[in-house]
Amino acid sequence: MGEYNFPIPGSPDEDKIIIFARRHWASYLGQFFLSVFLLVFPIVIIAAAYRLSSNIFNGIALHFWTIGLSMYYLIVLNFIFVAWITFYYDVYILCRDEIIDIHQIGFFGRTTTQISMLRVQDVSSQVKGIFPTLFGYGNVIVETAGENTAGDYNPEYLIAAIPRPQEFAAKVMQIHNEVIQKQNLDRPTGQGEGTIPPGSVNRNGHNNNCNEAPKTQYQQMIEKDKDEMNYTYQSSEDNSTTDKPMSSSWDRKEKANDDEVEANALRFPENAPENGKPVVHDTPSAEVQSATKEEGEISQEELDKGGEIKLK
Amino acid sequence: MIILLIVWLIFLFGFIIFNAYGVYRVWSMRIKGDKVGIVVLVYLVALVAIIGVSAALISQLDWNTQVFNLESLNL
Repeated sequence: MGEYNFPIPGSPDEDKIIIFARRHWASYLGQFFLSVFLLVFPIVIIAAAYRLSSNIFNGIALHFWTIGLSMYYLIVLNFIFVAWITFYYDVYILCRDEIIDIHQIGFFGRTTTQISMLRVQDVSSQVKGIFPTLFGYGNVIVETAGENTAGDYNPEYLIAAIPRPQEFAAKVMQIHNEVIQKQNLDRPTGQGEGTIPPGSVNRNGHNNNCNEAPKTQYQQMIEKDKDEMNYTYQSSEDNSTTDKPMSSSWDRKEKANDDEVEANALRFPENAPENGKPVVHDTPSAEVQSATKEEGEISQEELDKGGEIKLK
Repeated sequence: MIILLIVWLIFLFGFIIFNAYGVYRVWSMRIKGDKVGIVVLVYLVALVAIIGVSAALISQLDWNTQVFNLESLNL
């Protein structure tokens, strides 16, 4: 495991792995049957030839048969083992921030591709054919921004014969969206040439960014209409009892205080403001208290007296 | 016929070296939990079996026979 420089099962950063997948075993069926055929075919041929002529193993011919069959079966066995290694070490690893594709070619060839999640733009899955549909495996195509190999603009990566490709593709998109949100890359406007960063235009319509082009006559007309519509809307919300429109929050607070004083005067006539001056009381008088006392409620007078308080 | 035997021995020597390095490469790229151990074991057992059977048969044959001796062909 020392030759892997990325997360794999058994490595110290194994916890970064979300999905670890190999090629589906059904994709190896073709090579498996070919291997069985290559193992069985000579035996069938020899058996058929021996039935035709029993002299095929006599004399010097046996030497050739022995040497030939020995070399043939050693080569076929090696071919079967290499084919299995090529199948078994086609590995796909989905991590939090990258997709790793290991493509094994025989004993001595391997291509390792690491795709950053930030480069992923689109993911699609496909299941084509009887055996893929029957056994539930297919391809996942990852479209990225950029080049596939040096000097070759091919932004698509093919993840072939993976089990449950729809699940894999959905997981890739989910992680991609999480990474984008985590790095705050999902802003509707970006910083760059030709774009207006938020907050760079002041209230008077002047652009603080000297590189921006002046507004056209149509843009100015649209802004003017917007301002007029906002002013009209505010005016219609004003209280009809007042002559002056309440355009500021301070005006609204002042009117609220007046309303409160008026409501107090109606409830406590003896406390009605004289000469327009409002009277503020911290607590109502004793008569008011006793008049409004509810059953079980303790009055201020009783509290001042102290002593034992009987509870129901 | 001895030439045929020498060819077979040279082939066997090259084949063993090739597979020894191949098995070493496969062993070094193992991943935790894979089945490479069992498969390599089966492969080596099969190789030894084929080489052993071939060696047993070859040892029973007369390699001093001349190739171009038409009488020995028994056609």
